Amino acid sequence: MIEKQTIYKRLKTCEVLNIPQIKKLMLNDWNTLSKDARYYLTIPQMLVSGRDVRARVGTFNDPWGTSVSSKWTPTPFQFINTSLSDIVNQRAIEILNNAKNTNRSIVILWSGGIDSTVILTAFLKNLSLADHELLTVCLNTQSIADNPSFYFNFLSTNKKIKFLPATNFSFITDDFLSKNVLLHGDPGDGVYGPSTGMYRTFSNESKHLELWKNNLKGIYKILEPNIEIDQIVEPGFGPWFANIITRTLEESGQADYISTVADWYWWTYFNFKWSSMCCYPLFNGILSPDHRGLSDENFDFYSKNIFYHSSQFQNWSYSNLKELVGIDIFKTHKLKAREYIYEFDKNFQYFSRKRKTSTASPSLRHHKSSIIAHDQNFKPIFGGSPHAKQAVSMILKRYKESEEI
Amino acid sequence: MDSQHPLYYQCTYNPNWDRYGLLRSKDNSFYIIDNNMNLLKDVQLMIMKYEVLHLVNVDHYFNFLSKTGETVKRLNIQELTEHHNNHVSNAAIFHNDSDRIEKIQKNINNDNCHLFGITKSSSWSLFLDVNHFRLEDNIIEHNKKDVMFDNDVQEKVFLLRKILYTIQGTFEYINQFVSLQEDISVAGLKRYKTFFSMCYPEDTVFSKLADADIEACNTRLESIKHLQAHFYRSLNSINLNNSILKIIQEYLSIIGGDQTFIVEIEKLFPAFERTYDIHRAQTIIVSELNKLLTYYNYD
Repeated sequence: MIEKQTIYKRLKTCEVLNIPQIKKLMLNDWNTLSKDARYYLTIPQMLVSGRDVRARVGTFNDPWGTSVSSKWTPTPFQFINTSLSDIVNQRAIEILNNAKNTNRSIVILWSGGIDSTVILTAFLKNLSLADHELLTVCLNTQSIADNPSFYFNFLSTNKKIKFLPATNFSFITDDFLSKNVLLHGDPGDGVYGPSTGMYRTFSNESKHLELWKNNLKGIYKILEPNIEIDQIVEPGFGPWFANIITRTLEESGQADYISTVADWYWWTYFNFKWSSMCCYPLFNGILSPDHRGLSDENFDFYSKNIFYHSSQFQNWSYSNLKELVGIDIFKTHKLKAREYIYEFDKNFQYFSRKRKTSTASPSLRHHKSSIIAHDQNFKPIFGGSPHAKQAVSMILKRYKESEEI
Repeated sequence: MDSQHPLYYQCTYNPNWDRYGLLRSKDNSFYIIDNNMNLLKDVQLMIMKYEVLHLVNVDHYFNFLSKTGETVKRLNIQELTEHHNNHVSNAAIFHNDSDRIEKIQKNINNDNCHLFGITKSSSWSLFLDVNHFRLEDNIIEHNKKDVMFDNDVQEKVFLLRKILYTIQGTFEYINQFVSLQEDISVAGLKRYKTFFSMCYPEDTVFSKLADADIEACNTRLESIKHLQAHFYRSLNSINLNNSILKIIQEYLSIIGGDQTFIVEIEKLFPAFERTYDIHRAQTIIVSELNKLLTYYNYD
């Protein structure tokens, strides 16, 4: 009983959940769960590599009644005119200064994708050659496959830069974070616009720039799992989840500005995925039951130096929302970010062809035993014991989204 | 791809081997199917700076359960059997019944592979070599060709496969030919050396002479290896943004160029020997590509 209560308490106050793992834990009891719980556990599969969904703005009651930590509170919506290039350059300099002032080195997780290449470019552009010695690039074979030219032209030949294999992220400890600024490309999708794959059905018919209010039935349909393409069925999920997103959008007071179908998908990321994606390397690295978690000081420093998690980037994204996605989604996807990279590397190939091709996280290779969440200090929470499983199951049997837990 | 195209080749279902595919996540569609994994891997790496394609074992999703099921049956451990059944019944591949096998596994080929992909959510986040770590992973069928499907990329994939197949095949033959010819020399010299070390242990000269002779024998094979690497290197340097005609022309101008091509290898490997094998390999590959050129060079 004590363990059940402890698990519930830890889940309620946890930093980030692992919904896919909770789903795995519950598969054999699937039909005993409440309908809302089954819907809740289906969300990650329908939301491009989702792990945890929490509303930064508006109301959404997950089964545990969790809230979003103040670290991830969105900046008040505000229009700005600053160019992306200026914001990226300023952010790199700001982080460099933060690193120097705290005697930290800079470690960049480079996937080869657009978001992390922008970051790497910003540092290569704005750091003096002497400061290149502060840089460590954490990469793997996938990173090179994603952007071979950048690797050969700017990294492998740069004798000052250090390299760290990203086979797994187990190097992330409290001690590591006290000596390094850890940078990564998330939540870049929340800044530049989410995966176009999410609304391809609309863009194929050139309807993605129409008002979402006139297309809710279409959104319901896209979000409804289809046995042929999603390999699961959960009838009614589409409207259930779409209505949660729509509700928070209306509660934000921005529903008239965040108006198109493409904007609506931007909101799903900006509002629901932002906070968990900020912690991407942490939940993929802190896996051992013996891990001591993170000190408040290091976690706070980490969160303040997440490259894209700044007021400026959030305001830029909000201000340029209507330019993020054009009629031709292929041409406009992350265009400003690609322009920033092209200005530096002159690689027309990458500029013209590179689009969203997410790399699976390294730790997905390794089964994370039964980690169902990470608590406030980022210690893993395991759901493997019978008591823990019972506690989770009990909560999921009673869960109704519309009721306060 | 159109089955009448000169680059088209068949790769039908055969229970004796697995077939692999290159999948593009942008449109979640297969671009090519082949049972030669190493060849497809080379195509993937060669096209990498132009387009990222993911290597998928297509048949794996249909025969994984029967393979593990056989092991479970053979081991006959009750707890293991129950555990296995509970686990696999939650996996998407559990739905791969005889209907899906007929409709997808036995049907997928190079003329229709654009109609197949991987579970939608899995396609959003893939390793370069797609392993099967998610329960929802499975091969799926689209109801029509995706509007983002790029025919040009597909033709280039088939072109690279054709060139690499020609290179690999030619060198497989040449290597076998030379090895069979040279085997007795190297084996004889090695035994000769062993014999001397046993019977004349005081002699220090013979061992060095034998090594020099062995090296001379090996130089022929080493030269062939360097030549093959140079064919790869040169192909890797071609700008794949160009039209197929231009790609073939550019590649031919490099590999068919009188002496320059060989001189480049000699810079990297001074012991390189211009043997008859070198000439043969070069001639075969150049002729094969010239034949292909006639299809594109219709002007």
